[in-house]
Amino acid sequence: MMLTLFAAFEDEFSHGMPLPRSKNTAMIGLAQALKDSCRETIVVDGVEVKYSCPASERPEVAAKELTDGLGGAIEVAVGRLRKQALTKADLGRLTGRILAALCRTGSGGDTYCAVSALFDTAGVIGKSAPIRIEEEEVEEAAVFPFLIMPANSEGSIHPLRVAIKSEDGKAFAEIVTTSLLDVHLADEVMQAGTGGGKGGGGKGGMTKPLVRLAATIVECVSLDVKVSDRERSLRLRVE
Amino acid sequence: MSHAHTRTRQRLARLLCLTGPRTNTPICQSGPQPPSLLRQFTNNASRTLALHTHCYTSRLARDPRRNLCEAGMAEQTVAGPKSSKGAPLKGAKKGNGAAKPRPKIFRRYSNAPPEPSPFPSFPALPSLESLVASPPLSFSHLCTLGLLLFILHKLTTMMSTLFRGAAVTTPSIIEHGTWMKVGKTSKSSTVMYTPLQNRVNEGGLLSTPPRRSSYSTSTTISASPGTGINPATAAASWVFFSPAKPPQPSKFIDYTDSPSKSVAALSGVNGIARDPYTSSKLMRKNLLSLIPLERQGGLHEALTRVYMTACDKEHTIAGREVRLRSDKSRYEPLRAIRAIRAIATLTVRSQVDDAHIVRGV
Repeated sequence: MMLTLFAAFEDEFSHGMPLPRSKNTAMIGLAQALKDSCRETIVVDGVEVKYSCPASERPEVAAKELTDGLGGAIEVAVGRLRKQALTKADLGRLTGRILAALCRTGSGGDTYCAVSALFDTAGVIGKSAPIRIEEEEVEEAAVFPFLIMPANSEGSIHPLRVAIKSEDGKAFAEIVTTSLLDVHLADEVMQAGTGGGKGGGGKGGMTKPLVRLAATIVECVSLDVKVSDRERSLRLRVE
Repeated sequence: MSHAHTRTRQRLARLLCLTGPRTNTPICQSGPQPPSLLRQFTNNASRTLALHTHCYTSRLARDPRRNLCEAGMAEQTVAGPKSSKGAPLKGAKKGNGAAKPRPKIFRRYSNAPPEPSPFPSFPALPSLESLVASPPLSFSHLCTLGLLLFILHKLTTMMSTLFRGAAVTTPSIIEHGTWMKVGKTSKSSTVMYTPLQNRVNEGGLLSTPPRRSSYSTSTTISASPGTGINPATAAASWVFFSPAKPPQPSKFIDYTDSPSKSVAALSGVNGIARDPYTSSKLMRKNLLSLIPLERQGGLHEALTRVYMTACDKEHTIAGREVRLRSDKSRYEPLRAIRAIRAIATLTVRSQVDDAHIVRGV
C-alpha cells in the first residue's frame, strides 16, 4: 500500500512540498554548521571540496578550507553573473547562509518531522473513520503504527550539493540535502525485539523496512545579500 | 495534774498550733484540760498526719520519677500514724512516760520548724456534686478546640503538600533541546546525550563530536550529560533530560533568517502564526498546502487509509501481516516506541549514519 501510495501521488511528492525552517534549525550556529558540514561530502557546482587533512583529525583546518572553498565558488559564480564583485562582508554572510542550509542537523531533523507528520500521525483521521483520535488527545490514545528511522546502510549518505544558478535575472544558490528514512512497522520492530516477529529479524538487530524514502530538501539562498527570504521544499521518492 | 502530763499537753498544743487545728476550740489556753480533750487533740494530730501522708503518696503515684528516698520517707510517714496512734493515748492513760515511744514524725513536727514542701501545692479536688453540676468542657470550649484542631489539620496538610512538591519532581519530557546518538553493540545499544545549548546556543563549540568509539555499553541511566543510556531502559522508564534553560538565540544568528515569516505565511490562522513543528496536524496541512485541492483531498485520504490500515488488525500492508492487537495491550509498547522516535529524531538531527533499530528495545 505504501508503494501504491507513492506511485499514485508521485508528482505531488516529487514536485516539492513547502517545508518551513524549524526554530531549532534557525538557531544553529556557524560553528555547529561547520562541524556538521566537514563530516559530509560537499560538491559545489559539480566539484567536490577536498580537505588537506581529514576533518575528524583537524576540524578547524577543514572548516577553514570548506569556508574558503565555498567562498571562492560563490565569488566566481557571482563574478560570472555580475560585473560588480561582492564585498568581503557580504561574501562571508552568503557563505554563512549556505553553510546553515548545508547543515544536516537542521535539514535532517526537519525532514524527519515532516515525514513523521505525513505517515505516522493520528491527528488527521476523518470523521467517518472508525477511530477518531485528535492531536490533543494523543497522549494516551494514539497509536503510532509506523516507526520512521534514519537509514543506516552503506550509501545511505548522499553528498550535499551546492549549485549556483541564475533564473529570471535572479542569482541564487541551490542547496540540496538528501536523507534516507526507513519506514518500519512499529509492531514489527517491537516483536523483533522480543524475538517473536515474522517479518523482522534483519542482521544486527535491524528490521527490514517497509519502504525506504529519499527525503530531499531543496533550499534556495539568494545571492543578493539584502534578500533574506529563502525557499525550502521537501521532495519524497521511494529509494 | 503531774508535771509530765502538763509538758505533754504543752507539746501537743504547740504541735496543733503549728500544723493548724481543725477545731475552734482554744487549745492554747492555760489551765487544766480534761483527758477527753487531749484525746481529741491527738486525733486531730493523727488526722493531719494522715492527710499529709495521703497527699504525699498521691504525688508519688502521679510522679513516679520521685526518688526512692522520698518514697521511703512516704512509707515511713504512712507508718507513723499507726505508731503514734496508740503510744500517746497509752501514755496519757498511764499518766507517766508519755514521751517514751515518741514517733519520729511526731518528734520531727514538734521539734523542728516545718520545712517548705519540695512539691507544688495541690489544688483542692472538686467534689462529685460539683463535677456533675458543671461539665469539665463547655460547648464553647469544644467549639474552640474543634476550630484549633481544624486549623492544625489544614496546616499539616499544607506543609505535607509543600514538602512533597519539593521532594518529587516530575522528569520533563525530552524536547528538541537535547541531542542523542545511537550506538550498537551485540546485545544493547546506547545513546549519547549532549545538551543542545552546548552544541548550538553556545556557538556550537563542542570540543569533540561524539564518535562511535566513545559509546558506552552501560545499562544504567545517569542524569549527567555525556553518559551512555541504554535505549531499552530509557524506553521502559521514559527518562529523558531537558536543558537547564530554554534555548537562546545564537550569536551567529545574523546570517540565518527568521522562520517566523515563512511559518506565518504557511500556517497562519486568523493572522496568528503557529509553529507546524509543534503539531503534526499542522505540519501535514502545510506540506499539502500547495497541492491542488482535488489532488490534495485524494492524497489526504490515501495517507489516512494507510494509517488506518496499519492500525487495524489482521490486515496486510506491503505484503506483510500486521498483527496489532486492538485491546489496551496494544498501547503497552507505546512508550518504547515513543522513546525510539525521540531517539531517532535526535539522531537524525545529529548524524544520520549513527542510527540503529536494535533488538531488545
